[in-house]
Amino acid sequence: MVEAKGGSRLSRGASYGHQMGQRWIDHWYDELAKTNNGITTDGTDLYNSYYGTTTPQPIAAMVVSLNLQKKKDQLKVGVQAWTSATNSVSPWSGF
Amino acid sequence: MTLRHEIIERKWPYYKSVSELINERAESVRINLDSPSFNSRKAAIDLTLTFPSILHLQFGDVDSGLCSEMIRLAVAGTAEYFNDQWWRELTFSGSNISAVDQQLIIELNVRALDKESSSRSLKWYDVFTSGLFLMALSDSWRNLETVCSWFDPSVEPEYKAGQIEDEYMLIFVLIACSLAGLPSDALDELRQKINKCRTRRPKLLYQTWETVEARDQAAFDKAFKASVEHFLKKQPAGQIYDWLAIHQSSLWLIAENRGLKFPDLSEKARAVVVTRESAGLLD
Repeated sequence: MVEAKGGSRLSRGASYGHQMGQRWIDHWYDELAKTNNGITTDGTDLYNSYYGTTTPQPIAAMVVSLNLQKKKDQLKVGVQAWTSATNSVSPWSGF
Repeated sequence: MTLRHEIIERKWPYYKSVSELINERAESVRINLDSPSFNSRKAAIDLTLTFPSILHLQFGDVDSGLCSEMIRLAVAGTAEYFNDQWWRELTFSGSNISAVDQQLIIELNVRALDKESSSRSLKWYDVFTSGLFLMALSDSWRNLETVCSWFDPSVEPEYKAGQIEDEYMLIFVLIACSLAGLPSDALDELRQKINKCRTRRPKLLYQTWETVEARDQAAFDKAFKASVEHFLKKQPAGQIYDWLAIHQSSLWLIAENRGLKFPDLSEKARAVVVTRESAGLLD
């Protein structure tokens, strides 16, 4: 599944720090799973893997971040893996 | 007769039939409500919103008995989620979960639910907002009061990547504290924080809650209508329960319990507010 997120506008009243941080990515990953569950087969697989229901599967996620406003580290690649049915999420590598 | 999902111009979004989806989700909810992980329990309670939403949106002939059973299970699951016992007394006997994963699950549960933890990152918003709706819908007021007793004004907003205003989440802390019977002056600071918010969504929901608290029918009619009309301005994608004004519906159910009457709304606004009658839960 591919999802694109962008922009830098912050909602007033929300304090969520930097975009493309670990929490930000985890949030959107969760959101992607919940929003697409049952709507596409990929979405259902993602949801079942993430929440460890009847058919948990190992899962890997990769995130590519491109920030043209920065002088250094404009491109980052992060990976994360789930290896069990326990919703145990490994820390992101690369971020 | 125009069906509610037709009024809001929506079609069945899932690739499975109504009955297939219901059976699949019922199984998922049952399994996840017993999970050792707070996150899976949270997901199960959230997913339960599917059942009353299908009935409300009139997406087919659904077994209302199954719907009631799933709501009952999720209500019990919500009560357990906030009772601070299940995660303290968690055992893994007979489980095939590795020792490393067991430890990780325990740590994540503590961070999500232990108010005494110095590294707390409390996860309450989704479970409470879904649970509040399901409890109010099923007349489980005593359970709701018990759940609300978990809250105090120090409970902070969750990290939501800017999708939900902090003040919007704090409205639900205020509602919980109020339903738990905390004295009004203990909530003044919380009200001040909420009042500072300038965006429409929290402002309108907060005004609605205040009219419910005051049991002011005329003011409730006006504030409720404004909040639901504001909800209608967006067309959220995703799950069918995301199309519905679940939070406003919760406030209506509390208002109804306090003797207020349903406001005069447009056909479209009525189609997104779930009532006990529209969800087929009236005998």
